[in-house]
Amino acid sequence: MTIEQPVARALPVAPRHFAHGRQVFRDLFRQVSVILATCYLGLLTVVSLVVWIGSPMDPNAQDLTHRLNGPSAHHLLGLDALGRDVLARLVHATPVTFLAILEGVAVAAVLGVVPGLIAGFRGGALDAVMTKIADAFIVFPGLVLALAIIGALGPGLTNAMIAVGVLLAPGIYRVVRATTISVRQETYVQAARTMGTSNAGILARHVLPNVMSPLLVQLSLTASLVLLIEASLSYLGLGVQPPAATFGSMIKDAQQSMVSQPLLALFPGIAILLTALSFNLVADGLTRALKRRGLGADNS
Amino acid sequence: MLTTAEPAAGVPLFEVDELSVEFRHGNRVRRVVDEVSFQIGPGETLGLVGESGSGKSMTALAIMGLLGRLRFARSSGSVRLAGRELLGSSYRELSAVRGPELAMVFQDPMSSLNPALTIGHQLVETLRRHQKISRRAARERAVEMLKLAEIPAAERRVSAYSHELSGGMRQRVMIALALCCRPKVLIADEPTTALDVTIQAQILDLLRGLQSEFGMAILFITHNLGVVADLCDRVAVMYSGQIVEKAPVLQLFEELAHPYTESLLRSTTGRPRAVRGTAAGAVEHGCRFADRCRYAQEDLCGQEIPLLPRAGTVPHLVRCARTETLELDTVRAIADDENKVGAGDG
Amino acid sequence: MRTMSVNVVVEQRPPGADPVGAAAPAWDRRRSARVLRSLNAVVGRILNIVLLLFMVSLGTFLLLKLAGGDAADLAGGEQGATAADVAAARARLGLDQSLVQQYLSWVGHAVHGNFGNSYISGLPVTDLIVQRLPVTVALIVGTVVIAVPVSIVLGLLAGANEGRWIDRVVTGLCSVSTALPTFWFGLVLSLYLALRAGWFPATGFVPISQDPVAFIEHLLLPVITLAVPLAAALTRQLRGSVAEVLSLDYVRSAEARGASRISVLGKHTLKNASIPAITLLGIQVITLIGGTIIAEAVFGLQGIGSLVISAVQSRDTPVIQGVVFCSAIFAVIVNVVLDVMYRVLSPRTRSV
Repeated sequence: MTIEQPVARALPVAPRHFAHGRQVFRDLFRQVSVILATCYLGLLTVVSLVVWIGSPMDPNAQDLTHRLNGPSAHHLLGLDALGRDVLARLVHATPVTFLAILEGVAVAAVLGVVPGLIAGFRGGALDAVMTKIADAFIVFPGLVLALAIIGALGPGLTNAMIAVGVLLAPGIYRVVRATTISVRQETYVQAARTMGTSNAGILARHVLPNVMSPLLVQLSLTASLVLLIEASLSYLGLGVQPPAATFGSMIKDAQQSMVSQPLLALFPGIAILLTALSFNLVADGLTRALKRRGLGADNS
Repeated sequence: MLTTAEPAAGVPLFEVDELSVEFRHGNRVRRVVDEVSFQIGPGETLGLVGESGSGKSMTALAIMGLLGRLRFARSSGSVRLAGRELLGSSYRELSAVRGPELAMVFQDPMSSLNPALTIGHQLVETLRRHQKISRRAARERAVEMLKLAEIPAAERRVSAYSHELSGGMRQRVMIALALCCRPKVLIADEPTTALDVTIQAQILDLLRGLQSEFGMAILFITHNLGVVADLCDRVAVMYSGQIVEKAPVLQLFEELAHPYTESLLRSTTGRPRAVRGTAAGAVEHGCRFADRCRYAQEDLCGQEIPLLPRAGTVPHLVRCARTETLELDTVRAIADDENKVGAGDG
Repeated sequence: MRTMSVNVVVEQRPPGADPVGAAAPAWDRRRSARVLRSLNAVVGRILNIVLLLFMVSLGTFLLLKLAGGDAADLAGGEQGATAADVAAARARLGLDQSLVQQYLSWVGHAVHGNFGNSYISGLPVTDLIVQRLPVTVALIVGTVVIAVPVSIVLGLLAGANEGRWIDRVVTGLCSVSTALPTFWFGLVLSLYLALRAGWFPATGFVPISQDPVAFIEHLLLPVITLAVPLAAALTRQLRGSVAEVLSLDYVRSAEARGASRISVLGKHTLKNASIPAITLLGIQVITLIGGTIIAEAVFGLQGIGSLVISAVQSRDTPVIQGVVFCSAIFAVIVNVVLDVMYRVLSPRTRSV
């Protein structure tokens, strides 16, 4: 029991998120898993930039006499069925894969964040209709939907990524909407409203900072999903079209010669696994860091 | 099934000796219960009083052996039931004792009942865990128990879920659950705090009635001295993990000797004078109440103070450096008030 | 946690349902009010299902119509078809009608289980789907049958030992398994366990009626491929909710009454902790339709997945539409089953 009467605070004060920002950042990078994941993703980013500027490697140079050879001093990861250097192909697949992830996440973010904010902030019939649509997406098998969209737009990496973005947008929509609603009902937001703060002001000052953390977590998870679905679609031949390659399509190519040279399928698979794992680890780490600061992302 | 033999002459039914609980966070160790000792005899009720954070509930959980869930908590000392040591027993040994020997009623009856199981299911499970009886017999015992707990339409309520009952009904169910195996000792951890005032009195009456019927010892944990006056034979006042005053209930109300007890009594009798600060419990040396105490004197209260008997015929223990010289301002006035108001606070 | 319109319906109390009167008759009145409310709920749920199916069918129809206008060119015949041929094909397929007419006639046929004929093979879409259904159903059922018990054991183990080494191992395995590209995992399994070791056949399907042993042999690898990520997701969820439920008051009070370890974990904890996991299972089982597409491709199985992939590649609109609509029906069935399970596990939703 409390014998003394707690002094009632005159005005509810908004929690200062940015004061927490630095601490969350520190907690985030105190986790070994997050450091490793970030290093790996950083490496891939650097590789992508190098390829984009101009890479010294040629992914299409063929050495047919040594095709399907294992790793050697000349070709660190060996050669594929057409005698192309596997490392060079992996390196050149990196920016394509990253760009695909970026496209998918961007589509999902645009389709998820804006309606989520509007629905959460305005409520009413608009919210009800949009939420119903999001529900319909979620109770529906995702890949089948992606296939239907690709069926309409035609195969190709960008089309596939639009499909994946549409597919994953409801997840982001839900998180953004839920957070917006919970912020809107906070006492300090109500107080700000009574003091005449405009809707735009409330959105910018209270809602967005609160939405940021769960959104970041969700975006990181989405990136991992986009990568995995992209790889599946490319494997099925509905994503990236040759001669361009992503990690997923490299596995498709490797499948034919898998029995004689299993390493061909192994390397791009590990690349996908590590990348998806890294995105998940960053998301988990961020959730943990936020929880420790009492900013628990309402993510589940 | 493990049974405890009738206590030999001279061995108290229930004895807690220098029980301590420590929380460890890395290198930091915090003692939340500090060498608490008391005894309770059959049919007797001991009140354990203190504000939140004083370690009352931790004491109860440590006695029950339910600290296991808190992995950073360690308990030491001794808890003896009819001479048998409970502290440090294995889960299997403890689970044979919990129910038929030692039972507990929790503060919040809503969250203490499993929402996915019917009342009857939980009663039957407990009965059949400890007694070799058929499902049908257990079901009959369950209804009987609910009737004893004065639950109307017990035959129907036995197949109800907790969310279908009112708060008072739920606490009656909790009491029925705790008492269905006729325990020798019942720990009641703020059983009326979550309830309406009118219901509180009914629940206390029920406990009193069942105690006279079953003859069990009760450890009654509360923050409400009014309830203590109503129900208990003896009182132990806890502050910041330590017992600061222990006396028979009448003695405590007539001659309370610790400044903290005084402030507790003030807040209960509706004449609150805010106690400064909060129970931080971080003080390592000297009186833990000193920095909130109106009577504190730096030279006296800075040293370790033992729990000592006061002069007189009645057993009355106090942990205060100034106890021999201190004249508490309002002891008499409050005690008179308390007599007038009577037990109505419960 | 998601709250889904199809399975969690928060009903409003009908007027007069409040038991104000005396205690005894209130019970009966409450009971009749409950019947009324659950009737309300059933009607609401059916409306929801119809709405969902309507939205899905209209959505796919519009999508395919707006983008896939050249379907008649495909159906009109091979190269060298004249404009007149294409027009004839268009009239034959009903593509010259207005969009509204086309949609309504599609719905009209779909209600009777007729999804039209494939543009490519000319066979009825319904026959194509029914013919390939056993493979897909076997995959989904097999995956669930393997993944659920595994995740219950691992989830309880990890959740009850939160923070200890066994929890770390299980959590780590889950993290890796959720990041696993399914098709690659399947390839690795088929390479090392089928092609190299020869323990299992690498491709193909044998109906259970023909040879149960061969059925299981052929199915085991694709099922494991799909079960690992599913079990990982379920284990993660269960671990979290088990750890949470174990810290709740009612578990502690069950322990205070002397409940055994097994009863605490198996009865008091699992029943309550499984509710969010079942929600997840529902979503995942629906997602599994997508997974079977990949497993079929890797292991050369002729199921719904390979049907829809070839349909997408050749823009065989009726087949795509039919598969999408059947998937939606499957999703609805899964949700109804979920709803029933909620009601069994959580009495609160039963009488709300």
